[in-house]
Amino acid sequence: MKKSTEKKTKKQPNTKGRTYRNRVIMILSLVLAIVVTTMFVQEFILCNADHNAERIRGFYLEEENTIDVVAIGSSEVYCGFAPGLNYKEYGFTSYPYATEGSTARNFKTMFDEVRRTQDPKLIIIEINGAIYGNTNFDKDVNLRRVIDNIPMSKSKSEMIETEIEPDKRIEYYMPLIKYHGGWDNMGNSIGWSISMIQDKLRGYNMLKGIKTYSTYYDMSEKVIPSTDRSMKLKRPLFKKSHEALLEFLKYLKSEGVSKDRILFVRFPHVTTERNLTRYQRGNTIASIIRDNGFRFVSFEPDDPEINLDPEKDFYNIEHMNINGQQKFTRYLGKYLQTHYGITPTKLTEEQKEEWDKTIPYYDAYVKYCVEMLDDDSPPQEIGENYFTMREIKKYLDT
Amino acid sequence: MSYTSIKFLIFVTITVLVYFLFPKKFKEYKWTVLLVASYVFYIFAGIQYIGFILFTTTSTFLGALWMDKMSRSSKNYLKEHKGDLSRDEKKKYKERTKRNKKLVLALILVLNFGVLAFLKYAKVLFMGGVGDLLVVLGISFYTFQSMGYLIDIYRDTVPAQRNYFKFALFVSFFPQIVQGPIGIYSSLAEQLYQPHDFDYDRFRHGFMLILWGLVKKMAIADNAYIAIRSVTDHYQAYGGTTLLFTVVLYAFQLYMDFSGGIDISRGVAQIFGIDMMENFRRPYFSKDISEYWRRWHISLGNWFKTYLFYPLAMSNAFLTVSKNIKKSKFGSTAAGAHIAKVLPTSFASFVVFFMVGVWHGANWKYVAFGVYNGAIIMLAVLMKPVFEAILKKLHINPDCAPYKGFRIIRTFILILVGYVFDVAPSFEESMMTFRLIFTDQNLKVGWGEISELGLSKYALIYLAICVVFIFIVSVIQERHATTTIRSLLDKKPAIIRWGAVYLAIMVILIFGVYGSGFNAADFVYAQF
Repeated sequence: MKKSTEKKTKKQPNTKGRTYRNRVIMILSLVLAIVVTTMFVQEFILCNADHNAERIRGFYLEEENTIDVVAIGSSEVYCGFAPGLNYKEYGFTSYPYATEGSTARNFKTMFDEVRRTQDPKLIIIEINGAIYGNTNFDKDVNLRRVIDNIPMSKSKSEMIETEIEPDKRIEYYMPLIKYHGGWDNMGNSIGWSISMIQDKLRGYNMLKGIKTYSTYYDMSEKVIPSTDRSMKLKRPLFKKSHEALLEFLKYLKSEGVSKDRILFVRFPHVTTERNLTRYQRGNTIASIIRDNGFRFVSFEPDDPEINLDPEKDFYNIEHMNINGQQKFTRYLGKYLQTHYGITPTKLTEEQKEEWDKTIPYYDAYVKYCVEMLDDDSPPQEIGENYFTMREIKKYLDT
Repeated sequence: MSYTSIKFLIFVTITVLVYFLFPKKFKEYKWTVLLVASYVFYIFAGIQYIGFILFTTTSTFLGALWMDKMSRSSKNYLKEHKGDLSRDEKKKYKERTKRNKKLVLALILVLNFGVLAFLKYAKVLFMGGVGDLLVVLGISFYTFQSMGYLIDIYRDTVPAQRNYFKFALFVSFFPQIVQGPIGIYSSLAEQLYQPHDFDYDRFRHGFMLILWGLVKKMAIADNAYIAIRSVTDHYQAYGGTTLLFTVVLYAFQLYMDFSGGIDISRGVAQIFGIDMMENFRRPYFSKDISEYWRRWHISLGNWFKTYLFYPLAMSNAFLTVSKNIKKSKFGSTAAGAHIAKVLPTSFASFVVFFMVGVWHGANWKYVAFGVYNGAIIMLAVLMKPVFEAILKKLHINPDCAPYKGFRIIRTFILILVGYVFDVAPSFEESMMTFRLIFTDQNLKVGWGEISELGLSKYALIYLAICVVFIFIVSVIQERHATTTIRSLLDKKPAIIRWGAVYLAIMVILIFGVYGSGFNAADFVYAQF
């Protein structure tokens, strides 16, 4: 009897130790499971998945220092600048690091992010973000489309700390707090979520962030030719745009950025009475940029070499459609080669294989878009969405 | 600092760490951690409230000591003069002591309930002339709790607390300050002062209860509140079908909100080794309104029962009325005898529920709510023989399952009628709601309106799933009334136990209402 009690007493510490160990293991497993699930849900499911997210995250999947030209800006950029076509025609790699409605206050972060991950021969900055009115600056969403999709970095953190009110910062570091309420509206984003997961698994995206709408500009307004006297006028910028632009130019100078490696541009638009003031603000921006010693090229004036037809090459006055995208990309690519001597970076076999794949996918994308353009079906957003890609893939071998 | 905020989570974590890491040498002072935490919590809620809670604490503490001194002096005097005093003299002396104690009790009660009443009703009584008054956090709950203690002292059922700071902890204990449960001194105080050691199982159970409360509040109640708020913000714009839907949804939302909050409170207290009383016992399974009030906000019901109902029912006035009926001609009939027997209790119930209604707020709709509940209970007691006779005539066995089911549904409908007063912004609008519910039913129009209440089709489906889930959980709880779901889970394999915790956390993270995109509701009962 005594022996058995002693035995029990001796065994107790072991049992206790085992119990503690099991508890610790269970608690750690629980924490790990929660962290992993939360991160997955935050990263791919409840993250406001859309073409912006797919594009910006896709940029970070590109291997370091493999992109020759990066174009920063807003929607004009991913509608009019096609990396697949650049690579096919001129052999250099490129990427549109752009989001819908992106304002000039995003310029610095986007520029820093590009330089942090790539060493492009040229960074193009489309100036639309500096034309916007003050209200665009106040819209949280214009900031979030960029910030939410940037991996944690110094520039991301700086942007959050300087642009966001203290009590809201946590939602930028942990976007799930903001987006978890969208669980009942995932029907619209599920295609983008799947695509982002596929991109992540594959290690790159196929269309490099381009997007278009399958329609033509309806020509409901009178187009103002670039020879018109009004097109020479300048109009003051909105306060916030002006400040953000000046701040960015000052930053570029303070960083000693080589003027040969940065180019400010204005992508082609259709100019009508409605957006004439925007054109005129573009003129003001051109002056400001040149006065600060940087180069600026406007592709807005009608140029027979680009040969854009407002009726056939735009889906609205602000954006080119697939026809315009091809014409302008070809023109811009050649322009960059001629004026900036952009030559292809030497890629490894693996990297080359990745970029080679973008060519048939871009071709299939063009075929699909062209067919959709002339189809009677309602205008459709076409980008690297899983469901759209299923349709695009059907054109791969034709 | 809301119970559902990250701040509160951090606050509780720090308090737990300080409490359990408190030096063993000074363990008899462990309760000071809870006191400091409670006052920090209260100051976080607003420094301007602190005067009110200090006033209640101090006045009650001193009043209790004063009455206790009277009782002890009286006892000592009677002991010392045991042989000197006649029976009548002793009786008179006791009565004088009681009268003096009563005066002190009345003074403190009037002062404290006066402050409460002033803050609740002054604006209405003085036609808004006093401006916006403070909504003092938890004032109802700590006032009721303190006054309960004071009455207990008056009745000599508990010894007076001689340590002011210990008493301050009893009044301000942070997990219960916002919305109860209203603690009873005899069962709560000692637990607060004991130096509890860390207990893993208690911690785990407390944590699980907090999680369950958060699921109910954040992932269920606050989602339902989105639709309810849409209706109450534009109350006149909706038809009968939508209003009926809102009242049903409100029944669910209120239960999830209030019981969720209480679960969080009880869970936090449990981590510290303190068992707070249960405040809900599946109230919608009640078979009559009296039972409902024994299952809903149990601590408030207990308070009213102990400190208002019994004194009223046993009061000379009520007993005299009962005796007079018994002696009358009517009293010699069967009905008369029954009424004479139950009138004191039924009328006391009516008064209690009238007071419950008044307590809810300065609005006629709350008075109507109280009168409605009181009237139903009073009628049910008075008419009991009639109902029994009808059952007998219809050959219905009152213990059979279908009849029990019928009673549950009937009671739930009666509860819903009461909730109309709660949902409607005013008494007039509650009357309008009744009219529209009966005269304006149109499913197509109703569905159109419901689908625009801020909840998507999927969110409505989610809430419907929640209703079914809560129903299943409630049935399990009802069948295992002596234990808890947590204890039942303890018997399951680890993967199920930990899986449940994982699931609860993920449900809160994904379906919970939080962040700046939402305007999450405060706890409904925090406003009372």
